[in-house]
Amino acid sequence: MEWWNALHSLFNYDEKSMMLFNSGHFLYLFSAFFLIYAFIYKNVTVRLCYVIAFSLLFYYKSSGWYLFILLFSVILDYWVALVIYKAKNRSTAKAWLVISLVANVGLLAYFKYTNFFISNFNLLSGGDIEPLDLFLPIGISFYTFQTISYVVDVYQGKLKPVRNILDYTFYMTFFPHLVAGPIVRAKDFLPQVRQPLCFSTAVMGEGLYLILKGLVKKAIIADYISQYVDLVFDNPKAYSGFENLMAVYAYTLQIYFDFSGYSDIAIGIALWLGYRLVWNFNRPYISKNITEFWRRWHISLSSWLRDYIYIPLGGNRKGVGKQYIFLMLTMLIGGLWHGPSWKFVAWGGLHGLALAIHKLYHRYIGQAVGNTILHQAFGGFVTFHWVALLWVFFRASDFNIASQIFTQIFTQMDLSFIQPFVQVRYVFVSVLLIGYLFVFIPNSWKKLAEHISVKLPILAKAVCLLLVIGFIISLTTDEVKPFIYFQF
Amino acid sequence: MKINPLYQMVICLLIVVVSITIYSLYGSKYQLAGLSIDPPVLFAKSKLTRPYAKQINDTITSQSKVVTEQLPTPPLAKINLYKKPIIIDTSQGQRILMIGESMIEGLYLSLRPIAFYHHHKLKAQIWYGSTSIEWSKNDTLRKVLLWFKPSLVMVSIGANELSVRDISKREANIVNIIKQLQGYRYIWIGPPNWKKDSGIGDVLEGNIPENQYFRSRDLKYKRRRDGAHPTLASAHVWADTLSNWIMMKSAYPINLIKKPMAVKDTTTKNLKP
Repeated sequence: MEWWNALHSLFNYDEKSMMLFNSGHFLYLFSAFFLIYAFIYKNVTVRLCYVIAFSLLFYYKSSGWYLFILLFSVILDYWVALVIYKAKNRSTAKAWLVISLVANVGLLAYFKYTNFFISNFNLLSGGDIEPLDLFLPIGISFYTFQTISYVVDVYQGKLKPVRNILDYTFYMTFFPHLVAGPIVRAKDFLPQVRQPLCFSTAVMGEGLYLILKGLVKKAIIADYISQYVDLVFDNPKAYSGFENLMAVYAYTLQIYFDFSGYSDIAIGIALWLGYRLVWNFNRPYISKNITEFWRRWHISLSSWLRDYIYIPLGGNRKGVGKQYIFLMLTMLIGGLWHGPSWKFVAWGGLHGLALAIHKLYHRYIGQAVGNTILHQAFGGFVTFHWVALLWVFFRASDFNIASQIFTQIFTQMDLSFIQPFVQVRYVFVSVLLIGYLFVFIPNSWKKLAEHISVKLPILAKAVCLLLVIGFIISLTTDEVKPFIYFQF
Repeated sequence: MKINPLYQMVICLLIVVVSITIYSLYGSKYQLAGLSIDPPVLFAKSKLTRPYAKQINDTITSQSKVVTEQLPTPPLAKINLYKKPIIIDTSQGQRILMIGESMIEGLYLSLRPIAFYHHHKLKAQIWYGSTSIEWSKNDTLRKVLLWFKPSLVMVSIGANELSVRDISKREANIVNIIKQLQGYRYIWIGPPNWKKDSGIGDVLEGNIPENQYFRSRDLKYKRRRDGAHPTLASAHVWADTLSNWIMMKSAYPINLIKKPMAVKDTTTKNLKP
């Protein structure tokens, strides 16, 4: 009976037991899936249908019957792209583009922003409209942007629409990137869909390395340090300035490891299936200025915002003044994309401000100052701390908590707390230091680790995977922490 | 014979799954480098909060209103580069006595695993519904102190006196309790206000040194149906914050850090009132 219940729970939707990459559910289901995949991958149609079925099950486990919203988007945009491509004149094509955008953005807005609008309306008008009991379908922000990019690319003539709905469904529902990115462009992924798959030792080894790296980053380091972050962000006033600062540094690491860990696992699993996804992070915390940071952080989103909002608005083609306005608007939209709250808008706006200031600086002062090592180090220090402080808006539940954190850091700083803090929280401090060491170690060392994982024999690979998974599920808390970016 | 790399990875994954399954079903706890590794919990639940669910406020009664007191913003302080550092007593086996009214219950349940981890002896003497009057007039406190001989006393009295009018009489009782605690190391846990009090909080702060008084009213709580007692989850957060304050700011910093990795509380028993 127990076995039957366990089997039933693997396939049934449970709001409180969603399937995550670091959960037992996923391990079992993926193992079974992968075993069968290894025997059927050579037949393209069977392969596509099989992966789509698994992807839909994966999504169903995360969002239940909201799966049909995803399917609606897929079917609508597959059909609209074909209509746009065949349209006899530009205005017809534009009309269909608008229909697609309204439908997709409308769905996103409904599920994600309705209660935000209601609460702001109540605030402004003194009204008392009840918020709706809405459930945010997992990954809606990601797959909406993905489908918009496809339809817009077809409209602009950059891409021909796919003729087979299976191909488009495969692209949109491919489970590794479905719920938390990377936001994959059709031009990068669609050509891979029907290609003959070739599995080399190097690629499989790279996939294993990425999965192990992702699991360690997310399920060990990020989840562990989040315990301290949760404590401080719940009640910042109960902690000293130094402890608040440590929580800010910890969250800076947590969000990076959580998100990049997920991306690593997604890319690793995709490699095991024979597909290559785009990189989403490129060591963002070593950036020497804010512009560089946005080229290294959440690359798929920042490039999407650049290509589908900033450039269509006008980019740098309409003068310097308008460039800064477009930049700020793009970052505000980027902030709002992350969540229906003014604190995310503030986060985006402050990043936009920093980008504008950096552009001004680069235009008028940068050339004169030069690019010495000291200059780079100072730039890196300022950029890192600017980014870290802005993450407070991300994590704090509201502006009040965020202001308490800043107040504690800037008015209650007391360095005498360092010694007792390290004395009792030595494990936390060690994990934090190890985490930051991973962030700043040279790429060549990471390449060496990857090379080693490629060369290992099967049994050694199994032992490594076993150790990491066993370590994770034995030493973390009884409940599995979801990925931070799932809430977007 | 060279195996296709894809099949190699499948074999690798199968070895892992089978090993984990066997260990979870038949394995027992073992020690690895000083860490206690339990058999894994398969199919653990994950918690994803629904961000836009309706606000169901069934924890606060219609009569009581939570009033958040805004603390004045302190002036910009100089960075304190040199001050005598806090030295935490990391010795194990402290004898901690918790006395007071029902608010102790949640704190006790939360502190138990921490005390267990550090081999501290933790006892709770809960007098449900009590106020400073009972603790002052009776010799319960004196007897318990003599019997248990604590190295640290945690006092939680005041939560049942948020609306009293005879505040000066209550102050006299509190002074009397403090006298009874003379010779013992104590910290006073302030009441976790669910409404504005009539002065008991200020009385406590006025009579107890700052590094012996923990201001619980600054924290936010989710309340049980009675609208007063924090839920167990909130009590955990309260206890964590209290522990951190004891270690970092109190007059008697003892080691109350949580177990480094997972905190799997299998030793807690519910108290019977």
